[in-house]
Amino acid sequence: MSNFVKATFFKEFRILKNRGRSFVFSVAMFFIFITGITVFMNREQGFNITNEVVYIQLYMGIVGFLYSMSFWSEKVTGTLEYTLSNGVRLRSFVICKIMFNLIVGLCTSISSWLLIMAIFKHIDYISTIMALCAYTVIAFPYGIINGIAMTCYRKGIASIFQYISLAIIFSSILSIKFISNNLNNVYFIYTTIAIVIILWVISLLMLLSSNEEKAILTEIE
Amino acid sequence: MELVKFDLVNKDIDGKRILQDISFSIRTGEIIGLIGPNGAGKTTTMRLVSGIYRPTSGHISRTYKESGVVLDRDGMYENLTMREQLNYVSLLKTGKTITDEEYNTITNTIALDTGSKRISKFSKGMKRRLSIGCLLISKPDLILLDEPFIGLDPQGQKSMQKLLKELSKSSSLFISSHNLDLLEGVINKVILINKTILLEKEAVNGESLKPMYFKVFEDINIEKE
Repeated sequence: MSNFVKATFFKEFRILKNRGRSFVFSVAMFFIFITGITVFMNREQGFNITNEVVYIQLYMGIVGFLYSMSFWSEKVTGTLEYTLSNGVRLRSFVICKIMFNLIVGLCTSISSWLLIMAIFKHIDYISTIMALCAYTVIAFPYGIINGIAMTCYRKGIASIFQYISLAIIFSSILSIKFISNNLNNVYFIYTTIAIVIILWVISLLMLLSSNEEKAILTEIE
Repeated sequence: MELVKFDLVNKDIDGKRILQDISFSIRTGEIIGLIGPNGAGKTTTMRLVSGIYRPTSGHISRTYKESGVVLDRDGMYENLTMREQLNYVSLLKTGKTITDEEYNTITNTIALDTGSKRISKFSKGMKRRLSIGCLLISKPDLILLDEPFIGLDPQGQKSMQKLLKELSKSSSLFISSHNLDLLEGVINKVILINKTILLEKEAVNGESLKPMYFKVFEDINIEKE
């Protein structure tokens, strides 16, 4: 493992640990809210527990992932420039941070699955693994898009991406009914795959167009 | 031995020329003060030396093994403690966390030990001293310091001068500042910059570089008038 990977994981872990209480509280609030709303909204209309679990797991993974991301503060406090001045490439910086955030999201997703299992006494390993895979293939490219936007784009555009992240969290709540009733629908699966492919293409293009100079120069403007 | 060599380097940012035909070198043992008014291109030169920026034309060669930086904004993780920040830098540079012995040596040198206090609670002077402490981990052969005196009170400036002298014993220093007064007695070479290099002079036998500095700026002002 390279020195930078070790350093990033150490630093991200300590930062998360130092803001531990507020992080755990926020994630727990989201879990209570989303589980409560899922159960109450769908119980009357053919409650499909497997789909609910997949939905909550995906949602909690994304919440943990987005809550632990902090590209903007890296830029504002000058830690981005410090790291780049020490010979780290911007692409390594973004990808490495995302890998850590992905693990945090996986932890929140698995923790919520364990809680749901305890609450509903429902175990379905295959759908759980599928949800974790879906989370990973969605979160990774979105993290890259977000990371590059926050580091290399002007403040206005970076702010739009911040709003998109918030919109994803909150608008997902509105998709509960749709997802829980259509998770086995073949068109729904095709649509999801198409979105994932688009996310990966955009993230790769953004990653290729990024460079250290861009990340520092946008700061000056 | 030349650690960095600039050869007719030009740098444009957004179509505007920031640096013009810059040629100089940083050699082992040199403590160079890069002096110039605000907007003269000091930070751009620093970023070219560190490799974040690429020159628009010209060539930069680097032969140093390890470099360290102190930025005007410090670049510290505010949520970490002093020891955690030092461990982060140590992992980045050496792949290992610092030992208690190394920690004690650093805290003694920079005269700072804040225990479990977060960096967000540090004063500007404390953050700057910690930045210097981070440099002591890997003992780089070249250290770049961008405006190290900015935001410090007179006492902080004095202790910074002392720390710079300490660092210069084992590393070459390249210090940017708009204040030559604070660098006098620390540097042994001055590069005066204002988009292009106006003066490059070594101080022989502790000679003061200040009169030359004022002479050049007087000439610029006369030309402008």
